[in-house]
Amino acid sequence: MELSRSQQKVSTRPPVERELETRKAFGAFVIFLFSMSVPYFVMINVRYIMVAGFVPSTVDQTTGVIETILMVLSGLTALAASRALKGNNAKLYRTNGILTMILGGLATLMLIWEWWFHPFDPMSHYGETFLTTIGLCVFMHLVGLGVLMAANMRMKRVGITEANALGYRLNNVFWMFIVVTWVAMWLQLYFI
Amino acid sequence: MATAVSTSPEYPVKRPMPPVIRGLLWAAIGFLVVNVFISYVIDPLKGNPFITQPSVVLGWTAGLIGWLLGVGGWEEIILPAFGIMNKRPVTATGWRQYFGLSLHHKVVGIQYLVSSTGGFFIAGLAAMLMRLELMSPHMWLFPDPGQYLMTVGIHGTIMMFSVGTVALVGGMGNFLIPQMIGSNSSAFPKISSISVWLVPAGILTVAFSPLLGQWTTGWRGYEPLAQNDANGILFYYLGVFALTTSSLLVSLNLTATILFKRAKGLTWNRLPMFAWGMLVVSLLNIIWLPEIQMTFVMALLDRLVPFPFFTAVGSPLTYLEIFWLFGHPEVYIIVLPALTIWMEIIPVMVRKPLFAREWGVIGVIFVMMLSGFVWAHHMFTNITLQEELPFSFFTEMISIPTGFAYMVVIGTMWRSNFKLTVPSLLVLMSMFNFLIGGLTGVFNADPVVDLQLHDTFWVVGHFHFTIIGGMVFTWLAAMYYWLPKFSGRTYNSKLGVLGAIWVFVGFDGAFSLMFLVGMEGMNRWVPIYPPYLQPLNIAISIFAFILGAGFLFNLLHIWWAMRSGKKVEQNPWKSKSLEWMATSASLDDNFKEEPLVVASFYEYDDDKPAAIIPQQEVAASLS
Repeated sequence: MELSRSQQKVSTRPPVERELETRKAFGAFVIFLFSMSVPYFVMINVRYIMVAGFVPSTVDQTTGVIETILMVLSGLTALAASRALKGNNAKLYRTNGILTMILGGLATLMLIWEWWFHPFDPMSHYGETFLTTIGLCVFMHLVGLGVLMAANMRMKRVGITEANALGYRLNNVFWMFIVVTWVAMWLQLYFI
Repeated sequence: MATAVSTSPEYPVKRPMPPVIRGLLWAAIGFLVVNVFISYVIDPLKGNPFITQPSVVLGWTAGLIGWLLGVGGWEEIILPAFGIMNKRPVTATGWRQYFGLSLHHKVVGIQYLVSSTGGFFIAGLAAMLMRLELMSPHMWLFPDPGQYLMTVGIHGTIMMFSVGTVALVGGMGNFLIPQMIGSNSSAFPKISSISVWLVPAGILTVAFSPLLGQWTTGWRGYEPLAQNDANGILFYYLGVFALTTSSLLVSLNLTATILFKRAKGLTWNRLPMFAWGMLVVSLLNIIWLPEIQMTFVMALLDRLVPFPFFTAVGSPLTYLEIFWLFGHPEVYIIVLPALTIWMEIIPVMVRKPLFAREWGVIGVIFVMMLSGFVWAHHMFTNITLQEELPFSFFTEMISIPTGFAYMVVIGTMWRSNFKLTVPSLLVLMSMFNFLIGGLTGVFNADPVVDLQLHDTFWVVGHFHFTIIGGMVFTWLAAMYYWLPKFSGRTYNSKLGVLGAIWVFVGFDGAFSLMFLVGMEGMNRWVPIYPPYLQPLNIAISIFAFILGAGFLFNLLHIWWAMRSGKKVEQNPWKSKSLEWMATSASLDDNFKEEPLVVASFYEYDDDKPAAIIPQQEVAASLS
């Protein structure tokens, strides 16, 4: 595929400068992730203001554990996809990306299921914080899955170039961020 | 927009209509489809009524997405994200590029400024209606108090979220920061290119909120009061959500730009003061805007589900707490850029080095840090004495770093050959007004005094002196100062001085009298008051009308100057800062070659340049 002018410009830069640019972009992305973590902190705060450490016995622990296992596995496949980029292995990236989407998608479906068929009073203070936090997670999961799908289709159409490799990597980092936030939310909603 | 057709096999582009028109059309389609689906298909009442709370919220969301895609997000963001590359982008030229999605930071900055100005005059019109009502102690203009309160809410919401938070950050920040740090673009041009289109959407959502019914909460959207209101409050939450998302995206872009796009030699010690201001404000936005957005989501769920988060069953005080946790940093989000603009303009006007620059930087950083420790002073009437004291202490403490920034400017002016121009005059007026706002704030920081003044017009006077006095006067100063950057032209000095004095007289007349009327017992949020307060209220209203006309005069003058003002050279102020080395009044690259910063921008005791363009230096030495 013919490179665009901006891509050609990028490929002529010396490796040290390229690495520096990559690190800068990654640094900027970390700031973005920091900002995206704020709503989770708000929900944690509100939960403890409303109900302190109370966890109702009717919360479905099994579903929570399965969701978390699926999410952690999807984080590992996202990590593997990210590593595939280093070897310019587009096929491996896509395979791992599809696995990530399947695992993450299943976990999201389970979240939606639990959200819909909650086994406790949604009008209780625990219930409202639980449902809002799960809703926040579902929203972020859907955004993350959309981003992964876009990356997968982009990889299929464009392949890996020097200019777009970082974008693929950041897509996977975003998914890993979602995995980490889910694990944190799972611990605080189901246990702590 | 001219119709453009691409022959690319991968991406046949055919844009049939101007982006804004297409955005409106897609927004209307998105709203109607989703609203009909929710209210006719999902709702058991089958379209009776046609608009329900869930249908309008989800329909508005679909409409907003349609709007963003329609103005250009579809071609510039969504399709490339899926690998459908746009080899022949549809690029508008001339005035048309301001009416679509643009990746150029100057275009985006101007789009933000125009949107903010529109919001300013819509909110200003609401203020005029309020003052007209308050000329009589009885209800006469509005049919009921709820409509008056809704006008107050629309005024405050649009002013805070589309003007105060946006004009200097999204507008001046996008326009100036890449030029000031020696870059040709911002770090993520696509982010700002789309975020700017959230501003008109947010402003119109709030402005049209009465279509859904009254809301009486003011710009704070107080819960559980909002639960008693009609559905107009939904558009308050949604409009503010759009506006805050815009500011959040801009802040992410500006932070990355300042951190990672600086020219060689532009060390932290040499970073322009306005860039420091943008950096600290962006960090405040990055922390506090998602916080308030999540709060509004919870308030929205309280209404839609309904949950009892902030109702009497839940914890009503929690809303106030998490609102003001954002609400007070918001004040500094508005004011900090203004303080740093003073530090940009004054050294140029007095031809002296910026006095104690490091203390100015320390000042804005500490204001940023302390701004999260003062919020409960808005709630002295709701909390215990033990809780009041630390917040009172920190509120008084924050005046110290604010004072650093203030004293840096005073020190720079001290024993200087002060050049009185329209920008420097407006900076002086801003400093005077901000001082009044700050000093009256010290009284409010004291719980004993605050309990007497709470919810009186004293407080209205105080925060208008801080925000209009601090920020809006500085915005005007900035517009006059950087006018040649926008258009290559400058203003008429006599008209500029007239405009400055006009708004100063109107502003100080109106808002200083608010201190008096507040101390005499005039309460906020009430359109009916005792007759003995009428003379003062009439005087305030007359000054307010003078102020409104003054702002309109300045707008027309700036508009005229941009089109027909006297042409000036590239650096008419003989400033040393980088933006004046960049191309003006054109959308070419700011710098043909990356500049090299060799000294501070504020050393006016010699004629040495602060930055050089290496290639030009080589060419000059060869010739």
